[in-house]
Amino acid sequence: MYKNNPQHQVNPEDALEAYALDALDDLEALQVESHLEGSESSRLAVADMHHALSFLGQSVPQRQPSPALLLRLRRALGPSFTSASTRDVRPVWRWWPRIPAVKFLVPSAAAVVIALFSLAVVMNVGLANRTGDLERQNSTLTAQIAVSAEQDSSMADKVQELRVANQWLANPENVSLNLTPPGGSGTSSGVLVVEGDGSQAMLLLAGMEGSQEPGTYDVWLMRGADKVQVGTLQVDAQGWGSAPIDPGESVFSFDRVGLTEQMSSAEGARASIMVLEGAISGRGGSPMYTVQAPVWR
Amino acid sequence: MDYDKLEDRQLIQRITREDHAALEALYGRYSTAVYSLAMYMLKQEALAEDATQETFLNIWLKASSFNAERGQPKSWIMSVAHHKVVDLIRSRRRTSSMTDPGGDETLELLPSGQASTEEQVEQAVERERILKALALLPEAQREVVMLAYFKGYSQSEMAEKLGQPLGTIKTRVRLAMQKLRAALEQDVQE
Repeated sequence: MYKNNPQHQVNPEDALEAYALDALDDLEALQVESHLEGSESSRLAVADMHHALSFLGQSVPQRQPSPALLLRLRRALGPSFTSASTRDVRPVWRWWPRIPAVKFLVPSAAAVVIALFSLAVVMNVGLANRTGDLERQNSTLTAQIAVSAEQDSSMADKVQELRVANQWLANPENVSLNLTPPGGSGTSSGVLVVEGDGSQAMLLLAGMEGSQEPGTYDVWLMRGADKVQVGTLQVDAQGWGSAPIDPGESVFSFDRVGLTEQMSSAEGARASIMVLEGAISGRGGSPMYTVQAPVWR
Repeated sequence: MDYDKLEDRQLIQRITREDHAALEALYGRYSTAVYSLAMYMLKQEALAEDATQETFLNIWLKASSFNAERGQPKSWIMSVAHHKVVDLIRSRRRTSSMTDPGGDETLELLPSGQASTEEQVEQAVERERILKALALLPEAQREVVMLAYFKGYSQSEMAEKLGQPLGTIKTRVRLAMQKLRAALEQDVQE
């Protein structure tokens, strides 16, 4: 449902209302944000609609957040974050000399030392156990941090992949060729974006319904009975992927483009089955939308 | 510095210079509105708190992207909040096959309250116009606005849920939003 489907390409001017309403899918929203970067009138229109919608947002029953939420926010912003209220607290050394009970200081201190020593003995065993618990928690947290770092790296790769795809889509000289399942059914789809002279291309896939997730596919260019493999492409667990294609000669000298799924050896017999294919009809493909950097929110 | 006397846009300007107290002042003004919207849409306190925290972290990080000439601070803050809540709803739907974050109760529109300043009076009038325009929308158009805004549905999800062609849903969204926007412009002209 949320897969980035090339069929979801929108005319940004017609999608401003849905964008303001947060009713676009991710890729559609990205296209509109790129359009907004270069259109002041569209930005004003979206701002107007956000203004109108803000009244809806404020018309719900009002609920106070927990006071603890502000403390969470401070923690999330880092240790350097100190509020106006905490900055106004008087330093310790200003009230210390005002304590009048100096004459009780020595006996009180002795009592406190004895009490603390007794308490320390009692707590020693408990602290040892707690230390063990904390060490276990620490190792768990370290493992979680490693997993998070790996996920961040994976996310950064995805963003970079999306940016490269955007650059291809943004070039008005490029030509797009649609790839569809041979039988016409299923959600799998693809677009081959070809440079104007046909020397290079980028393949974008979405909604791939393979036998394995994530799956790997071989890309073929065909001319009559001849078939040339020009690249491989891996899709993620959501069936989305993109990769540059190096055809060796002009893409337009071929008449078809196709995609086969790489299978394990036990299933090798199915390896040559086309899962997507499309006709290469020369420089008459669909126009692409201009895509630039996202803006504003 | 008395932050209570600063306007919202002045606070946002200070946030761009990493003024923590300015963010706390903005939080004091809008945390209830943001949390209320999140709570209404997500129905769970823990999630609503997450969304509220994320909203103000986003404001802290992206205050420089706010352009006062393009819109009002409150609208911007609410749009950031709404976007965050919709993100949460959709990511939960993806991971837990959640189809609906809450019941189908109708929105109980709150009274405007007492307006004390000229700006508040103007806001109250605008608010009444928007809610009236919403009430006057044809049922099918009002339905898509409510599903998208309060339930976080995308157009394609609404098409599936309502059993309507995607093009029909897009048209309804466009017409509905154009009417809501026109209600504001009518306010300006009068």
